[in-house]
Amino acid sequence: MDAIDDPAERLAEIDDVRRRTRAGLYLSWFPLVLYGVVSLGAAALAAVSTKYVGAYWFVAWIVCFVAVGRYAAARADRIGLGGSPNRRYTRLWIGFFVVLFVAITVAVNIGGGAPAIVATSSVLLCAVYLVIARWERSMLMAFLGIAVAVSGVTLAALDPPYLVALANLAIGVVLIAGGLYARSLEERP
Amino acid sequence: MSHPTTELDDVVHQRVRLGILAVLAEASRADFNFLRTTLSLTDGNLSRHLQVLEDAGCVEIEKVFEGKRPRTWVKATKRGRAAFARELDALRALVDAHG
Repeated sequence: MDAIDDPAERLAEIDDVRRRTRAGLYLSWFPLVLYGVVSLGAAALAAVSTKYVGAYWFVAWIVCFVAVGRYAAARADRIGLGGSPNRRYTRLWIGFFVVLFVAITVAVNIGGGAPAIVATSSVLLCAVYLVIARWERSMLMAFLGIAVAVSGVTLAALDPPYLVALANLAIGVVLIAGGLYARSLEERP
Repeated sequence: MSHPTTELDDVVHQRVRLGILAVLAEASRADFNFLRTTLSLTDGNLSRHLQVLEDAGCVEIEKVFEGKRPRTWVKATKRGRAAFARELDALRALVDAHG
């Protein structure tokens, strides 16, 4: 057995190894930037007409989810780590869409309109990011979730013209900024 | 009341082996190259420690061919995860005991 010189130091080493492993498993700029770009696309669409934004997000999300899954598998293989948590992410996002659909239906039926839809979507998206942040122990994901909620709820409260477009624009900017920051972290030794 | 050091496991307490189990506490499996790079080890050194952990039933080692490329995957067993958790508890108890 090694001499037990400093248990605190040993614990710190373990934490560092675990942190680097988690970074290999989870930290990735690609999904954030991809969803950010898709959100900018939704903003452009909503600026013209909000009629098809829901359908756009539904189709875009499926395409993005498949793309992110393939990217994650290839990345894990390249790095040499297993344990892709795809299944629980899938369950989480499906749950998000079900709850979102119900919440939006309720909001529309009680006459909430676009501000209620934007606020509800932002808060639910924040909740998803906070769950992911907990799984990945990522302050960045928690920060992004809160930024999405704050920007969405603020815009909903102000209810400016082009609200849906602006909300998607804000989410897109937040996600792309977060993705670029995550990328800069990945490139650190 | 026993001293916290009595809870330390000879197999798991060793620094490199503890590092291997720390990686495997986060990932369901890791390949030989990831472990070697992350823990800054030589091939021989890592192999020796993996053998000790495998003999103790703490890890399972699977050697496969992916295309023409050989690859060694390592994953923690239930016993290995439990031993790692006990080791962490023991280390924390030591830190607490010494303030």
